[in-house]
Amino acid sequence: MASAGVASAWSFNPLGAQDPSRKPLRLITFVDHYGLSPHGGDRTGQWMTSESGDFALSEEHFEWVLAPMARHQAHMAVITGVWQRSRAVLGGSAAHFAVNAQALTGSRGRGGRSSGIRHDHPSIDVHIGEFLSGDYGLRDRVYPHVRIGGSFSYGTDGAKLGGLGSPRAVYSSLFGATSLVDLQTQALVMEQVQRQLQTIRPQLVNANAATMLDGYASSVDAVARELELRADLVCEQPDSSSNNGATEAGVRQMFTAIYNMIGCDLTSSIAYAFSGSQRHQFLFAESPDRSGAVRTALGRSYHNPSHNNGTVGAMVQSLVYRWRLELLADLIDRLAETPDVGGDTLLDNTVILFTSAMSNNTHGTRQGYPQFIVAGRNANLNTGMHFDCTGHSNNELFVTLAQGLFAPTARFGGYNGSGVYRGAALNNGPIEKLLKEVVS
Amino acid sequence: MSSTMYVRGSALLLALTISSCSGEIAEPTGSVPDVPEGHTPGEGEGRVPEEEEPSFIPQASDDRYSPLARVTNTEFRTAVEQVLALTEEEAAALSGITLAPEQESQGLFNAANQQSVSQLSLTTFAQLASTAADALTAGELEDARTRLECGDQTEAECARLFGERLMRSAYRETFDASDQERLTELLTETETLIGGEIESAALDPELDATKLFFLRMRIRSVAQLATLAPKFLLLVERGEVGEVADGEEEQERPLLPHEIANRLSFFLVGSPPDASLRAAEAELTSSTARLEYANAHLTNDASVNGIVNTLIGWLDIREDVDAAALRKLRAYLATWVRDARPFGDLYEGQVEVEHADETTSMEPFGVLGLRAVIASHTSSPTPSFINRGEFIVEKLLCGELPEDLPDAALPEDAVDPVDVFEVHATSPCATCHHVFDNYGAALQRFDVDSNLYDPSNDWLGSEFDLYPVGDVEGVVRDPATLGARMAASQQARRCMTELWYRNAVRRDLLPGAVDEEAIDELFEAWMASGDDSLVSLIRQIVVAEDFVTLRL
Repeated sequence: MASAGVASAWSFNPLGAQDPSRKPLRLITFVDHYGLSPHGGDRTGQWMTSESGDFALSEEHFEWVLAPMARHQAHMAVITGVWQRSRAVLGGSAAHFAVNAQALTGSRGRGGRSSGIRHDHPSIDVHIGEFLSGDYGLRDRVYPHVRIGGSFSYGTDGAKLGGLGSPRAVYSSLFGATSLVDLQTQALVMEQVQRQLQTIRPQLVNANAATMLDGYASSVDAVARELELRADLVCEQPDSSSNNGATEAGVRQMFTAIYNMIGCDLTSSIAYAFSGSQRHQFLFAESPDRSGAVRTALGRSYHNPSHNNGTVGAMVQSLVYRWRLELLADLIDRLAETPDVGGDTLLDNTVILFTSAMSNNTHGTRQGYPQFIVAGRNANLNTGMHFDCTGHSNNELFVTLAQGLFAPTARFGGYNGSGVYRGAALNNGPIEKLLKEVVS
Repeated sequence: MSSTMYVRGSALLLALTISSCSGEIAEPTGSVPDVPEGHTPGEGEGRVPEEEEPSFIPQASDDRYSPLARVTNTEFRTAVEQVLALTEEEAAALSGITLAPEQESQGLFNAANQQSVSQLSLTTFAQLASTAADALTAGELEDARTRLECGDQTEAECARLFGERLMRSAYRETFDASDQERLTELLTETETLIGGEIESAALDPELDATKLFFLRMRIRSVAQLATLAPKFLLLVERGEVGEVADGEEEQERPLLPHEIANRLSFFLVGSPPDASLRAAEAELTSSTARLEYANAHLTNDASVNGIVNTLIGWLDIREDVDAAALRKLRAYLATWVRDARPFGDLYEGQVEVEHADETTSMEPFGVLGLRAVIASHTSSPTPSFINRGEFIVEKLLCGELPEDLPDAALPEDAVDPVDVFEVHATSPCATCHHVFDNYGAALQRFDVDSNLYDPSNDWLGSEFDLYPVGDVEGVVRDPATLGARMAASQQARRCMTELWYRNAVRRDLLPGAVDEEAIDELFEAWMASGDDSLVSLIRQIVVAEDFVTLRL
């Protein structure tokens, strides 16, 4: 657990409070690709003691896997019953790549298989990140949105956004400047790059070139703005980094990086996709099942048990989920102990979505995702509750999440593989019981 | 947790930043007249409004246009190493810097229509360039001055001349007055910053440590400018403007000599043209000259390494694959390329295969028997034939799979390979699985750890009737019989032709028949040559007219 003393060395960028009517909210999205396997066909003993009806959370409701989060129940909204109906409505494959592509977009991808899926619209983490750092929100974050771990977030143009796959990449890319003079000279470089772009641009007038050059020029501007903001930033740099995000140390450092990104006010939205190639031998000591089969399965990549819905696969996924939730619970402790602007804590201004790309290891099942929201008091979300959301779509949950951060979002996703909106059945507005107030 | 305070707060920065740029990026304007051949911009022409600027490429309103390509991450690394003349050790030190992920397109990362210059890619490119530049100023001041060929010049003058040399090399095209202006402005403003820093920090400008610190800063900034600039990152192809009859749409243009040099060098060695190729670029419109260049380079280490890198990407080798297994695969591919082995050896050459009891045996499996390939297409402790089959059909054979899989789940009790395989054979799963399962099943003798099962322990103990993909069909039993079909296949060779054609033109195939026809012609020429090695195919591509043609 973080010591509160660390925070005292920090000075947070107060620019986030420039709109006095709004708190500097952030979103952290955790996505697992593989769901939580049922023991014997249900999750008894793993997630919640009951998933029926709405009720106030208490410690007794938290089963073994979810138990590490019990101490944060007051900030939690555990959501069950939501359907990832977009695939049923819009079509598409049940393979990992297709499911992943739909998980945060609520739309079907287009343009091929694992390597080339695109959308016409952003994923929810990007949508909210753009809002929080855009015209309607708080402009002065260095990055509107950041992806770490795997790559299945989609940008505002629907192109898949690469994730920074290792702590070293995260640290060096996001925290890597060494001195003010470095930042200044880099800014000079960006100015000259932009001028060269303007010089050659008239010679390259055509539709395809314009697309490339527009993106290039925007990126140069974005880097320049990032440099400008970082020059005014006083912030703690993580002090070590692994070059492999799929190790125990790597995952821990990713959580540290998330804390630092929030604390440094680098971004409004972070999406972290857990690695499918990680091995978890170190969790064997925690396993209630000490069989050799579990030991072997923990030593294989995490993707494997997602195809093994026997008891061994379920045990591995339970162990891994519980470990991740222990890390998340620690992160929330740190956010709760760290001061933010206006007398609030970082947690007061943070919303966390923890979800999966599938409900369990049978790739076709699309209901009963292991998911919950953690929300600080300044978010527009009701917490301390289990919400039975049977009948609601994942799209509606995303609308709710967006409105939970005050984004005036009436519908989300619902586009088919041709980019045509077919999602009327998926989008019936927010799930109102989760919101303090509906945002118009 | 210890911490490092890494940036000082300051109000000093950035009146100089982008606010001083020329403003919003204009949308593409309407039709812009072409400039006659031989036109040389006169004094002051660089200031004319955009709509009056010369266009070297006609307007295109759809995506049927050869797009603007960007160097790949691998090419960026290689090119930075080349233009900064880093040693092998210095270049190796850069491997720890992770660049932004790239978009793959059917095994290639250089498809221009999938590429972008993102904020993240710029940031990581800048980081790599900066770190690479630091290698030039490592050690003491005198070491750095020697390395940078400073002679008697001041550090500021030395940096300017170094920057000019670097940009001439990095930009591949003529280093023009505009580039000179960019460099001069950068260094002038950098000097102002340096002066301010020396004054505010009360530094002694005559100390070697001070001189070295600021020399390093200057070199970093010119290295970043040279490598982040569009003339370095983008592979601009404008082609030679030809005459087009009224009412007709221009379909293609011959590439300009320096553009051919670019294509040739990036295609064959994965880096910008070196000085000798640039000097000879006027001759490259001749297929004979291109063939000579190819013959001179195709079997050298840089070229073989570049070709192997492309094949590794095509084989979709996972990043976390065992290092020893990857070395073994690289060695096999390098030998296959360098020795101009027959195409069939790719799939039925003798390779050392590993067994669960840690013994090995020599088997005629080609790459289909190598751990790096098998492990990269192993996804579960239960069958991997889905992944393996998809990989073979789509990647190795360029076969088409149905677009949509049926919306149905596996039964919950389908947990072992035989169960799953049998379930797949039933409706609705069979819609897709009958296409690729048997291809993957032929590789099921490899277990989840990529070891070859004891041959007496036949998985399923069956024969697998392949769904026809081109001329690949019939019954197979194991990797050897599958490999033999692949080795004999024209479909597999045609697929390889498509891969290397796309690699050469750096884009996905255009709609319509034009690219398909070009690939067919190349394939036929390759087969007619009597040499079906990969280097023979690459030679055919290099001498083809399509290699020196820009599609419009």
